[in-house]
Amino acid sequence: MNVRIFIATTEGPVEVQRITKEDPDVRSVICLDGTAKALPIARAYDAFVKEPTGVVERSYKHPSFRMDVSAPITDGESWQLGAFCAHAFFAEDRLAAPGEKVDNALWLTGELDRDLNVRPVDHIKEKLIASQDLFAQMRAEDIRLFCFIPGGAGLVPEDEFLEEMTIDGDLLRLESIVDIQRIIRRFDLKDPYPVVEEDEDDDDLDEDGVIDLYKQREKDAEPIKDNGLFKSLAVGACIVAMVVGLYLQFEDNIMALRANGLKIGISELRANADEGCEKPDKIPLVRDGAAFPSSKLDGLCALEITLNNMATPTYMWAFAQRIEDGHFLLADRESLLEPKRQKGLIGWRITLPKRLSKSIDYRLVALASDKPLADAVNRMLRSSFGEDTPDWQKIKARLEEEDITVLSALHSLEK
Amino acid sequence: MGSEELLLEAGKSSELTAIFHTLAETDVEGEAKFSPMVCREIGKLIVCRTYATPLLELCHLVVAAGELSLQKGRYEFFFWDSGVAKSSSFFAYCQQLEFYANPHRLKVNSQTIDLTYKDGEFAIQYSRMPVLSALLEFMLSALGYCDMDDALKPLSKHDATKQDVSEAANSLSRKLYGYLKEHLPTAQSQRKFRKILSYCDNDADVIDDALILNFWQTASIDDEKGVDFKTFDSVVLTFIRVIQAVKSARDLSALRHAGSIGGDHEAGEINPDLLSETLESVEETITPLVQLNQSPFDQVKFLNKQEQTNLTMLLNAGELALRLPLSVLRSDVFSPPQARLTQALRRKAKNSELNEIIKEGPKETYQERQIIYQKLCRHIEHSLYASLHALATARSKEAISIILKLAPGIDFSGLHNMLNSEKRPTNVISLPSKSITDHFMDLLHDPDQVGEDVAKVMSQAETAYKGLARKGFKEDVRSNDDLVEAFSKGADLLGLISQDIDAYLERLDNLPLAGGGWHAQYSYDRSVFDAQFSKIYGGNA
Amino acid sequence: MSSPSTKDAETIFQALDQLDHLLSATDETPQKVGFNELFSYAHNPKHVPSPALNNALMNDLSVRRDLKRLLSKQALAHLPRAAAASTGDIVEREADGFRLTLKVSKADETQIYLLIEAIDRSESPSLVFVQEEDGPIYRLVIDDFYDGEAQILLQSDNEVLKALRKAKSEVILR
Repeated sequence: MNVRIFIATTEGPVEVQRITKEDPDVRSVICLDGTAKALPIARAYDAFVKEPTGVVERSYKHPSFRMDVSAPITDGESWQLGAFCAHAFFAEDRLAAPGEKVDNALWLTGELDRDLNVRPVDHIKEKLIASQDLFAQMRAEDIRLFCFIPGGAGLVPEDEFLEEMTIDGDLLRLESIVDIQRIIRRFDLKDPYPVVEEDEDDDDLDEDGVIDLYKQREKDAEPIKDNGLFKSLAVGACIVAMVVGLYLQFEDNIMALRANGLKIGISELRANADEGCEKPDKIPLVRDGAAFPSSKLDGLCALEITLNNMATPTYMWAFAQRIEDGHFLLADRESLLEPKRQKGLIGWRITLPKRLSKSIDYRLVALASDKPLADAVNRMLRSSFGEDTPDWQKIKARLEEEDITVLSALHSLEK
Repeated sequence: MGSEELLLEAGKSSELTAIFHTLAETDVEGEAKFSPMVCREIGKLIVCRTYATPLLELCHLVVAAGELSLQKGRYEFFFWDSGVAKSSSFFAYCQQLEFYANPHRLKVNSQTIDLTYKDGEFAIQYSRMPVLSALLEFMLSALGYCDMDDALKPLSKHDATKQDVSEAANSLSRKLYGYLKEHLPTAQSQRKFRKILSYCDNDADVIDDALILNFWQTASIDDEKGVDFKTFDSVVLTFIRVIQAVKSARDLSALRHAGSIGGDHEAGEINPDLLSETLESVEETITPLVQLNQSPFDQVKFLNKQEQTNLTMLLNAGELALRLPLSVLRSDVFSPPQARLTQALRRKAKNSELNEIIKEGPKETYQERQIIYQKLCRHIEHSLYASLHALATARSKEAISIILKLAPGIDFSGLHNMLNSEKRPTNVISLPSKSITDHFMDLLHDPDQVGEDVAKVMSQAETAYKGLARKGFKEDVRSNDDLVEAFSKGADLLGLISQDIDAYLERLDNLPLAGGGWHAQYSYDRSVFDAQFSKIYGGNA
Repeated sequence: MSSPSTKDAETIFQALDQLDHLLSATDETPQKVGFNELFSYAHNPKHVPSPALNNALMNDLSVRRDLKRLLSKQALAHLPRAAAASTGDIVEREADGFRLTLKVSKADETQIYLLIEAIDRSESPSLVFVQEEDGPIYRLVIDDFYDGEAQILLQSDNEVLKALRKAKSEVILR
């Protein structure tokens, strides 16, 4: 099914209504709503399309296009990510026309460089605020809306803000990206700028070439204990091969990163200069607001997902769930069977894949309660068993009905 | 004169009014290109026909403009690419483009640009350029660009002589003369003058409030006269102009008699320059109000639009307001409802609406109108105090002259020593720090330093300044010479206006009214005007 | 009435009365198109013409004549009427180092691209004026002339476009 593209602006979302190949003698132009009114960014769009400066002609082998959009885009470069993706869908005849029924829509803001890396842009919060009506409309029409923003420190708005925006990670998702590969792969688009990959064995790819994030490994890293205060939690890890020089994108799709004094955090475990990944250096990722910067894969051994309980000691437990099929990845059951109130920092280590051929999105969930959690978790697992794709909203609602505080964060692993 | 001829005449003269309206509204990026005084200056040289010399200056300026252009002879850029028509703008423009000019032909000096021709020289002052620029704008609107461009073509020759310039100026003079002959008909004015003189038996001295009201009651519904005398304010203004004209003619006659000016003239053929001077003296009282709207005074909003409107008739009348106090008051109070009637009639309102307007009457009574004048006086006094504070903050010596206006006879020696007597050099920007200024202002409020009286006045000045939220009263005057000038010279203009209002209010106070005072006078006049409006506009009220 | 002093008074009155009349304009008083605006129209792409100017350019021959004179002095390039043998709509003009081409948009056939190219000129025009034979003069702002070319998208019913297609129209770039 076709996909609708929205370019985010501070004045509101702008829908890409149509793309047409024009006579090569004509400059590329962006027009307003099918009229002859060219937008002020038309010149920049032409440069964005046409080689040698442009990336669209290089990828889609035509030098001149006309793009019709629903509202003015006055200046800046943050339209580039949306415009490029619109071309990617157009190239495969999958760009939805206005009014056409769609299941998925993309809302994008970001500048693109020649290598199709996504560069940071300003005013992301303002653009989200200006799109609230669209979010409500998409929700009402049951259309899944993917919001793509550039990755980087300080770019992802804080979680309270995202909660206000009703970005729930399900119908409305927010993802930060460092290049367009995530979008290309997620939506099975042709790679506009293929990168030659090393041909290595990959024991961790399943039959579909998908990394099994949830497959328990024999050599899982030991649970991490901080300050000796915390009980270790087993790592249910994804283990895949690593391709040198590629990046892992940590994505913080955030629903509620913090509640009742419970906070999710991430640390990078980077290869030590002398001892490599045997004794990695731990580098906590500093949240600017709630945003985690993306991690460069080069020299990265693992990621550590932490929970920090800053309130009174409470029963806690965590698990992960693959978004695609709802497959559960459970933390150590020991802590469920021998429940203990805990406080402070608790961590899981996720060993990084060596190589990825397909993006993996997963939801990290942390539970906290005044009562031991084992029964509730058992009920959750039993009720989800047998369902094709367990419905997270239902699971969450059930847990909350039992007075359990539920925190979740969506992540992606990407090559 | 038949009604068709009247219409034709009105049409021709209205084109000229439209051109003047355009001139006044001409703007450069939202700012008026020509100041009100410049527009008035053009008006005077048109009606007095004193345009010969300005046209000669203009033609020389066109030569200079062509020299200062990258493309020789393209004079347009000088006039339409140099911003608002101010002396300083033209000076800056000349300085910038002097590089392109032939140094043997043109020199840019600090006060003038000097042109050298084979057969002589000519200097044009920057202070004249705004008027000359407005004159060219007027000429182009009146005669059209093609005709003007043809006439100015000889000036774009690289070897144009002074003689060529004179000939071009004469050619323009002839064209303008021909245009004005067509578009500035004298018949209507002549007719108005004669009708009024005839009504008062050729004796302007008998004109008083009662006579004017009676004349309007008759003339406004007269089929023939009605065209010229329909509105009461126009009738009052016409009577004022008649009295001023008769008095000026007598003064001229006396001067001729005394041999002060040339006596060799035919009746009615007054030397144009003398006529222009006469107009200036007649306009003496309205001039301050006009000046307040132009640079540098317009940097301070001394009077807003409504306040200026409230003063227009009074200041147009000048000293005659004291001779015709009721006519001025009647005009002020009854003109707005008559204007509403005229507008309603223009949009073809029904009789019932006209009657409603008549029934509604004026928005204010005579007593309320006098209160408006009193408030204006108080506001002006307030503005003077605030100006004093602003000038004292800037340590300007001009503050003394305002103190003398506000409190004549005061001992200001203590203050005098604290203020700067010399103007700041233009290339030095002094920015006294806030603390120094605060300390200085403390001294000015200290009776031991400046004396009891000055300290009291300064205290009042500060209060007044803080109470005024209008443009100019909130800006930092310390580093703004234009603002200092606006406050100091603006105070002079306000003083003149205030004197006229005071004298008029005093005249109204002492006016012998028939029993019942102002209330009865208003009631009586209201019935007279209501009845007259009904007759003029066909209402039945 | 006929005394010298009265005659002088009449002259003075005339001047005063005429001055009052000239300066009596209110907001409702009509205006004549001033040269200041005509110059801006011919010279400044940012100038937005007043309704009065638009009206005058359609109906007032003298204003049109003035504009033509001004343009003839300011023109960067003058593309005269097409050759007498030309038949049908003109889609390309070339003269004075500039070429104007019309191309139909593939997205919408009712929309036409006007391409303006500098062939051997280095100047950048900012305005296009098109004058129909004995008709009005139309003006088009060139927002974005760069790399020696500009492109303007027009509706096919646009007056400028209609005029451009006529063989007998003249084009002035400035």
